[in-house]
Amino acid sequence: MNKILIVDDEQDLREMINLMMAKEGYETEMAQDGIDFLKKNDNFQPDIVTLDVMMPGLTTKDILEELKDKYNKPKIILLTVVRFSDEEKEKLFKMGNVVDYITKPFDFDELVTTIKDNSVD
Amino acid sequence: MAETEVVHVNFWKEMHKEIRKTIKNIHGLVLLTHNSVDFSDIVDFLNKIRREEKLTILYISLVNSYSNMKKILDVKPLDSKKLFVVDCVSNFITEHIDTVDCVYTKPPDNLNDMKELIMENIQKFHPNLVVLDSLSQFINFSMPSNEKLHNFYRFLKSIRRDVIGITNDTFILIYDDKMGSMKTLPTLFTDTILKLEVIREEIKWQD
Repeated sequence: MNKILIVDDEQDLREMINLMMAKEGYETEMAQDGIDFLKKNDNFQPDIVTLDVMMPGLTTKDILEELKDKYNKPKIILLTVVRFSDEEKEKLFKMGNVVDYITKPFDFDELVTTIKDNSVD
Repeated sequence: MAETEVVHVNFWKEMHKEIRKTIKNIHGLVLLTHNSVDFSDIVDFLNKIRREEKLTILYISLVNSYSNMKKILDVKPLDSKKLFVVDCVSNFITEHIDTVDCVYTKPPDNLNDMKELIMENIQKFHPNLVVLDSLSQFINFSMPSNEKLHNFYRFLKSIRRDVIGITNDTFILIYDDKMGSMKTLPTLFTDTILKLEVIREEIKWQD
């Protein structure tokens, strides 16, 4: 069973994704910010992480840099309202273990498909 | 079929002639809701505002990077308006050095920090018009918690008290309404609420 960690400061959205992925058969865990994520990443050891790009506290860059030195390196799917250019996207994918990128507001089916595409068989 | 109950009804007035006049003479605290993903649609909107005046705009962007915006502005310039940008996006990827017309910073954590960022840059650029793109970072009007609404109203009140009429005359809050129907409209705290609806179709190529 794939493990997924949902990181978002927006509680409603976090819980909605959590509920949906649990229904899809994933083992789930939630984190409300970057520090909470880094703590839970060590204990929960997820395969996939959905990471909100804009959260209070640590920036996404800080989080991805912090992850570089960790033993557990989950696949990161970024969730963001930011409209990055193709050039910027390319740079993003070179940071940490970013495998995909979804622009908010998103369709939940799109999110589920993206997570499934990046799951380990 | 599942039972439903009406939570809220929003009335929208659509009179094209009147809307054109409203946009042309826009002042005060404005909420612009939209369904677009393109910055060029926002440029079109800004170009419709007070065309005969030379306005200075302070654009606080939490959605588009300055380099991205610049590419669009090269093709579609802001007519008689001078633009200063606070880019809260680019530093996600690499550190940038401020230029004459752009300040790079990390996105504010909350509306209090946003207010500080606005005040700091108003003193620097002395704009007539401030644009905040986008409010969707801080509030979701389709499912707002009481706490978030309360903070948002407090933010609007402080903007009216400290910004409108003192340093500048117009403040536009952009909100992407694709998150869902707006259950709450801040009618008491804004002067104008506008809805920008962009309808796109695939281009049918003809031989």
